[in-house]
Amino acid sequence: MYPPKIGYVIPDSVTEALEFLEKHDDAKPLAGGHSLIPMLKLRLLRPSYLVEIRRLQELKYLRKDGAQYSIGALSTHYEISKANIPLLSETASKIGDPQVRNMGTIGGSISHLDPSADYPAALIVLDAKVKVVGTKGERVVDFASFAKDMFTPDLNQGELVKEVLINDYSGYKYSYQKLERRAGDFAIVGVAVLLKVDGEEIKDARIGLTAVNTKAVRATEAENVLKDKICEKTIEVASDLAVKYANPTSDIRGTAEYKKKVTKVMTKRAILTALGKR
Amino acid sequence: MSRYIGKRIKRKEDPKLITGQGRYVDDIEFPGTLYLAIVRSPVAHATLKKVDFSDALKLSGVVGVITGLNLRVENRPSNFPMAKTELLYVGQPVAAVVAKDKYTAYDAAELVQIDYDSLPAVTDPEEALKDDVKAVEGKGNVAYRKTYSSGNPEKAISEADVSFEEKLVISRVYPAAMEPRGVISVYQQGFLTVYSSTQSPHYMRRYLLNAFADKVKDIRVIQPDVGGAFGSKLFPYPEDYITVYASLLYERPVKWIATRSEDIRQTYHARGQIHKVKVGAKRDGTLTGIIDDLIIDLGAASHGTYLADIAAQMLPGPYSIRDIKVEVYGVYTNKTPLDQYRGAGRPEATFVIERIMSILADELKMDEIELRKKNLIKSTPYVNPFGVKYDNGDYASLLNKAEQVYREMERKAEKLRSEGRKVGVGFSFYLEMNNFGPWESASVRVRGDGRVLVIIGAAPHGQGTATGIAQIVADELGVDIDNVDVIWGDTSTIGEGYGTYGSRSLTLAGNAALLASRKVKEKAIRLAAQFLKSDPQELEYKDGKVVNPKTGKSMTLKEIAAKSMSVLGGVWRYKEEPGLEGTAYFGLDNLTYPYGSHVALVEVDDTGFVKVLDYYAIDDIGLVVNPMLAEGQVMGGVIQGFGETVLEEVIHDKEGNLLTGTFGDYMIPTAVEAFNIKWEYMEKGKSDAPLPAKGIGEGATIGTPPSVLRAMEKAVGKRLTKLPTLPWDL
Repeated sequence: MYPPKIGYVIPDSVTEALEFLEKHDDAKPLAGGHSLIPMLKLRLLRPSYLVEIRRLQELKYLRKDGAQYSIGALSTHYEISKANIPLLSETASKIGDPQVRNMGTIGGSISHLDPSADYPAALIVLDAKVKVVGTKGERVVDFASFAKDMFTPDLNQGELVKEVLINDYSGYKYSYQKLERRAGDFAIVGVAVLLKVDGEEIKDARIGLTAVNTKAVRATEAENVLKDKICEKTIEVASDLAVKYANPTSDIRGTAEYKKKVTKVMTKRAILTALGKR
Repeated sequence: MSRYIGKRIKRKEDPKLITGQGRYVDDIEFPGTLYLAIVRSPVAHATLKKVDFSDALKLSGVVGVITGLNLRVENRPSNFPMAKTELLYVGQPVAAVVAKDKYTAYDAAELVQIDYDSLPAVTDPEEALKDDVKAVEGKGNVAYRKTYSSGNPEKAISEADVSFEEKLVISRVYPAAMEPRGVISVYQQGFLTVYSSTQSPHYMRRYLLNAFADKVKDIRVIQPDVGGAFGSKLFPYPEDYITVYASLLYERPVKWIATRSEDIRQTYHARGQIHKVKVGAKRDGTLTGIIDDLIIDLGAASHGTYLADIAAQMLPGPYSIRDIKVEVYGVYTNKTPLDQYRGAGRPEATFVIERIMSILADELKMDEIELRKKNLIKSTPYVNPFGVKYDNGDYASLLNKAEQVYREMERKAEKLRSEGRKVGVGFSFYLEMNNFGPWESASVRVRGDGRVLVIIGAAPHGQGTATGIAQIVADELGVDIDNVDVIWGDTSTIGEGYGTYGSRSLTLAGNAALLASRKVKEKAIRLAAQFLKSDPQELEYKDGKVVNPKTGKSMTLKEIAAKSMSVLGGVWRYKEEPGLEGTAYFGLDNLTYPYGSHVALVEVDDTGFVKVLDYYAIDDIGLVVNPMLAEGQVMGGVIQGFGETVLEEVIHDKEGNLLTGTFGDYMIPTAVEAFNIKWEYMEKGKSDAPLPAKGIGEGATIGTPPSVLRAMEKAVGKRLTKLPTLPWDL
C-alpha cells in the first residue's frame, strides 16, 4: 500500500523535535520506522507530520557508567545485540530479521509497545528504567509502569524516550526464548529468564512473558517457586505456574489453549537454557 | 555426442537477475503515464447500490474514475472485471481511479464511496453445498457437478475385508510470487503495447483482443522479467482488462501494479478441495474400492472447475484399482475465485491417494511400502479407470530405489526414538500428468556473425528454460553455448505460442527448437553446396560444420553465415535462397506422465513445530537436459510443498473477511525453514518426443505434502488429514 499524504520535518536537535511535537498533536516521531512505516502504508495511521529523529546524534549512544547501562533511544537492535548486555543483547538478537534489527531502535520499539514485542519481557525482568524527555525537562520511570497497556506508553504529547537504563546483571544466568511461526515473525510467546545462582541454589529468579497478555508480565509465583535448590521438580512447577500469567487470545499465531501450552514449554526451555542444562 | 545435454550447465539467466539488472514491469516507464488504483469490495457479499466518486474527482491530479465496467470474457462471470450490481468477495474490483501518480490514485480511491446493502455470506464449502445461503444471488451454489465412475465401488467396498472413511482437507493457498502482478498498457494510434507480468504473452494478446476487438487494431504483449508466477499469472485478471480499457479510454500509457495486500486478495487462490473418501481393501492389502466425494471451493466464479477434473482423473494414481468413483461438487463461496497453482489438481489427487495408502497400511497393520508394491501398476502403457493413458516408465524400479532410502531413514528414526525424540519417516509415490499442450513454437536464426538467436513461444519466468534450450540448440548445431542467445516473451517476435505452465516448456519449446535447428542445418547444407560448388547430397552437417567427406572441404556455420552476408550493395548470385533461419512448432499427441517418490524424516518438538531432519526425492522425468535446473525445481518445489503442509493457509472468517491479507499473516517458508534435499533421477520413462524429456516444474509440489504429513503423523502417533497441519493441531 501507499501512505496518505504526510508532512515531513527534519529537526536539527532533540529540543527542536520536542517543540514541534508538542505543538502538533497528530505528528509522529520517526526513528527506525519498522512499526510506523507499515502502519502508514496500511493507512492505519494518518499523522499530519513525521518528525525525523533517526539522525539525531544526541539520542545515539550506548555506554556503561559504573554498574549501569545507558542505552540511547536510537540504538538499533543490532547495536544492542552486539553490546554484551546480559539478557538484553540476546533478546535484541532475536527480534525480527536482519533488516529489522539494522533499522529498528529500542526507543521506537518501546514507544510503540506492541504486545508481542520482544524487549518488554527482558526489560521487566531487568527492572529497566526509561528516561523520558520533554520540553519541560526529563523524568525517569520504571519500565513496568511506563508500559501502561498495549500500544500505550507513558508518554505525553511532546515527549520522547531519551534512554533506557539497566543495571549490570553480569554474574546472573539468563535466557530469552522466543517461539515464532517462522523466521522474522512476532513471538507466539517470548520468555525472558534471569537467575542468580549460588552453588546449587537459585537466590533470585525473574521470569518475564511477552505476547501472551496485553503487555509483558512477570510470573511472580513461578519466580518464587524457583528460588530454591535447583531441581527438575521446581523447574516443572515453575513452568506450570508461569501459565497462570498468560491470558492469550486465539489468532493466526495459535489458539489460546496452544499459546498457554507453549508458554509452559518455553518457560521451561528458558530456565533450562539459563542454567546451561539444555 | 552431446556436449551440453545432460550436463549441469550454469543458468544463462542468472548474472542479470542476481546483480539487480532484471527489469520487471514496474521498472518500465513511459512519459505521460497515468496510474491506476482499484477500489475493492470491503465486504464478502452485498447488493451494490451506488458508487459515489464525486469526492475522488475533486482531488487534484485525478484524471477519471471508471465504474461498472463489464466485458464479455470467455469462462469469466458476468460481473467481470468489475462488480456492477452485487459484491461477491472481499477485494473484488468495484471501481478504478486513474491519476497522474500512484499516491494521488490511492488517495482518491479512498474517497470513492461504495453504497451497499449487506447480504449473508457463505465461506465454508460444505456449508455452501447445503445451498441455504446463496453465494451469488439468483444462482444455486453448486456451480459444477460431475461423476467419474468405473466398475462397482459400492459393491467392492461392501465386500471388502477392511474399509474406512476419512475426510481429507486441502486448504486454500495463495501462490505468493515474489513479484506481485502488474501491467502497463501503452496506447499509440489505434495500437496497444501491453507489458505484463504474465506467463503467456501470446495468450494474453488473444484474450485482450477478444474483449477489445472493436476498439483496437492489434495488441502487442511483452513479458518483461517476471518474478515468479507458479501458475497464477496464466489466466486473465480483472485488473488486466481494466488497465487496458483505461489506456484506450484516455489514449495514454496507464500502469497498474498490485500492492502485496491487493495481490493476496485478487490473485486467484488455489487448492481448496475437500475429499470425503470411503475405501475398501482385501486383507492382503489389495485396494478394491474407492468412493470420493470431492468438494471444490471455487470462490465467486467457476473457472477453477478443471482442477477438480484433474484431481478426479488422477485419483487412482499409480495403483491398479478399477472400482472407483469420484463425485465432483464445485461450489460457489464468497471468496476470491480459485485457479491453478504449481501442480494444479495433481497435488490434490496425490495427497488423497497417498493418504489412502498410508492410512490403509495402518488399518491393516501392514508395511506401507509392501502395500504400495502390491497395488502398483505392473506394466505401461496403462489406461486408468477414467481413461487417462499413462505413457511409460518403470514404476517398480523407482519404488525399490526409494524403499532403500526409506528403510535407511527408518533405522535412523528408530535410533532417535530410542533417545526419546518424536520422529517419523514419511513416504509418498506420485504419478502425475504434464506437458499440457497443445504445442509450442521456436525459431532459430543464425546471424551474419554466426551468433545464434533462438526465439521461443514459451514464456519462462525463473525456471532457467533459456539455458536448457541453449543446450539443446548448441548441441544440435554443434556450436558453443555462449554463442546461443534465447529470447522470449514478445508477441511480435514469433507468430504464435502458448507460454510456460504445466511443466511443458523444456519439452515442447525444446523440441520445437530442436526441429527448428534441424531446419537450419538442412539450409546450411544447401547454402554450403552453393559456396563449395558441391551437390547437397554429398555434404553432411557435423560438429558445427558442413563437410564434404569426399573432398575434405568444409565450412563452419559461422563461415556460411558470413559468406551469405558478404558484399553490401552487391548481387546474390547463388541458386539458393539466402538466410539461415528455421521455425518449428511441436506438439505431443498425449500428455506425459512422470513419476517419483519422496521420503522425509521429520521431528516434531514439544511446541508442535516440525523440523525436517532428512529429505530425499527421486524422479523419472525422461531425459534430463540439465540436472542442475531440474534439481533447482525440486528444491524450490519441496520447500513450497513443505510450506503448504505446515504453514500456508488462506483464512477467512465466517463473514468472509480475509484474515491472512499480508505477508505478516500469510506465512510462506523462509531460508531459515528450508532444509537440505537429496535428489536423484532415473531416465527410464522417456517421452515420444525427438528429445525425450518430460517435465519437472511441478513434481515436487505434488510429491512433498503427503510424505511430510505422513512423517508428522508417525512422529506424533495421531492420524492427520489436513493441509496444512499447524502446531496446535499436533
